[in-house]
Amino acid sequence: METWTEERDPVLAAALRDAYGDPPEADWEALRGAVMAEAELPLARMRRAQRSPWAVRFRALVPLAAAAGVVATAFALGVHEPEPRVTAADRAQVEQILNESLPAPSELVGSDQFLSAAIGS
Amino acid sequence: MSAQGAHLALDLPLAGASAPAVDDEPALVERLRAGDAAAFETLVGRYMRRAHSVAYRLLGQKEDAEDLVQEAFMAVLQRVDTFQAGRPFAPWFFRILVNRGLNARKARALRAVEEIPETAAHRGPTPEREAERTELRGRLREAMEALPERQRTIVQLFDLEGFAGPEIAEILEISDGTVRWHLHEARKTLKKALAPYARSE
Repeated sequence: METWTEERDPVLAAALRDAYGDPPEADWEALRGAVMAEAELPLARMRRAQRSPWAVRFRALVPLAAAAGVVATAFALGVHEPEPRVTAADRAQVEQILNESLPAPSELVGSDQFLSAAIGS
Repeated sequence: MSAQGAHLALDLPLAGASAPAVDDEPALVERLRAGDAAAFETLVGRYMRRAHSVAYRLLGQKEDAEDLVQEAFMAVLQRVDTFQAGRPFAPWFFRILVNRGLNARKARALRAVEEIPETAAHRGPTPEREAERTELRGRLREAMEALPERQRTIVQLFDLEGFAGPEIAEILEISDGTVRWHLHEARKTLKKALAPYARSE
């Protein structure tokens, strides 16, 4: 590093500076603003990728996975639908309805109605 | 931070009023990888002026230089994942800038044809002296333009921008010896162009 510093040629450097002049001043704040504005989107992408790399890579699969989940849930609920429970009260009610709607066997003795009622039941 | 990186940043005459604190750069780059806008803005603020100066030397026009600076910083965002942790940021960044600048110069077939700045043209005390200086400037610029591109870039970085030889070697991805040889050859050519005016310098 030192040897390079020693090798500098001030006459040539001065002549070059004289020939080319100093670089013009830029509007530094505007330039900084332009760089930062253009960087906004890439920086946001980098932040998102950093937070959840899996979600970004497989983002396209998320709706499919959700749909598959819904189908699976519906299927599981269908398969395991519980049998309807029949209580003693239900049984009693059904028996009562049957008793009320069917004629008493004594009324049917000797008639064709008895036979019909037996076959129908 | 390596000694080389520290030297580079502390040796920047145009980097700003205060010497940049490059020791924090590995952390800044890590934060940048995570998309930290504040870390990016710190790096932009730190290298923007020097980058603009180098870009202007390469392209010769203020607007082109500004575009190149912007493009180089965007390339940093795109390629920060390829940046080797622990390496100094500045040579890596200036490599991107110089490579893109050289590509732009090739693509646009730019020649340095801009007018000599007025500020430089008013330095001579007499009309004869001024005429001689103007002629010298023209000869030197012609000689610079006639140099092979690599030699011209090395002279611009070394003599105009104050980069050290090893820094240029890292930026251009060539050996120190190659930089030294190109610089020697370029200076020989330029001194020939300056020889008729040597008495006045």
